[in-house]
Amino acid sequence: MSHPEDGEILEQFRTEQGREKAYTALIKKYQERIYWHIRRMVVEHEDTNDVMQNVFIKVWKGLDNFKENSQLYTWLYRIATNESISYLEQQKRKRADYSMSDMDGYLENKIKADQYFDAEKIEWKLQLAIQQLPEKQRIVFNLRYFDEMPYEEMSRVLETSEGGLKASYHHAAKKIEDILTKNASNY
Amino acid sequence: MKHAPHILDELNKAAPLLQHLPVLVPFTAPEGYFEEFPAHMLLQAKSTPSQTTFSVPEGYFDNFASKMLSMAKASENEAGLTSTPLLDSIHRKMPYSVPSEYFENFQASLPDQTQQIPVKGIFSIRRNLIRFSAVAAVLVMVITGLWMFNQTPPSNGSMVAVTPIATQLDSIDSETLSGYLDNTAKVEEFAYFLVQPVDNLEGSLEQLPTTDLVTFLENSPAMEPGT
Repeated sequence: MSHPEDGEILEQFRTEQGREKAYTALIKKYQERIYWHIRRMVVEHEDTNDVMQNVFIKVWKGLDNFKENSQLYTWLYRIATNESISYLEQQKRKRADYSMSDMDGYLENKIKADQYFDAEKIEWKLQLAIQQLPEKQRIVFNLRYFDEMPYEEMSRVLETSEGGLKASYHHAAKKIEDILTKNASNY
Repeated sequence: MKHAPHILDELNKAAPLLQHLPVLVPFTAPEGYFEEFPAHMLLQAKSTPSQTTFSVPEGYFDNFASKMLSMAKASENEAGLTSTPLLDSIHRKMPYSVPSEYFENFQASLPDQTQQIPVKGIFSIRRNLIRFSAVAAVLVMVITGLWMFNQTPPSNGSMVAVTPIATQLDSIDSETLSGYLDNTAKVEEFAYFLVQPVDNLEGSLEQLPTTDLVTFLENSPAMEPGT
């Protein structure tokens, strides 16, 4: 399925009659990438759907003021990342009696509660290992490992230096390998 | 799905195990979610006001500053913080002055002065000791005086022995005793005359024997008139 160019979407959005059509086109073009980015962070579909709606409401309100000097999907990723972090923070506050480690356990439990969860499959093991990373490393690892996002783009999304991102990804990959190796030796 | 070559190279250096893992997210989205999401989102976005849902009364901010100022003044009046118009008109600058550079030098001189000032206790032991000693000495003197005043002379021979009066009278001959009594009577009579009030002087003189008066005048030294 072919999608219109970002410039075309933006131009159409700024006209009264093309606004809704452009908005729909933008969602169709980016929804799956944004969805999976959010889903990897908040794990559960219902939570992901909530964050998705928050993200695209912000897009609706803010697209008029979007500066075309950055790529549209970079802007979308930034909104999605921030909304996901905010959502998790809200969850943390709701469970004020939970410590940070309990919060990590909360996401692990969500993974294990998935109807398709299979503890023997490596892709589930990988997801459980990712949840043991610090938040920043988790986001960097997901963006690089699954989305293969260039560090240059990632630095614009996360507003962090490329060097810092490379180091974070290196540490994250190493930790995940250690976790998986350790778990394999335990079985 | 496989990684791009540059991602594989990167993983090979950092964590070789991961380059062999499938690039697969095991989560699933509900069927038809992505088909329905754009239309659902459009409806939701259109129903969301672009601006805040709250509104303020017309002209609210026009007089807001002056309204707040009057409220602040009113609250000051309620708290009794405002003074009279006369006091308000007085300049609040302090009329007193301090020597030049007083405050600049104050901090530096303060420690020396503090060292020179003797520490005064609430009670001075030395001064109180002197007071107590003086009071004690006075008390000792008073008690001793009272004790001595109330003491009766001892009855044993520590004092001069007093000879009984009857024994002494036996040793005096009759003439001596008679002469003594005669002189004593005259003296007593004259002493009586002397202690009488002045207004009764004439009566007293009349009671005196004439011979006694003559004897008295002859033995008295001559007196100048008017003395």
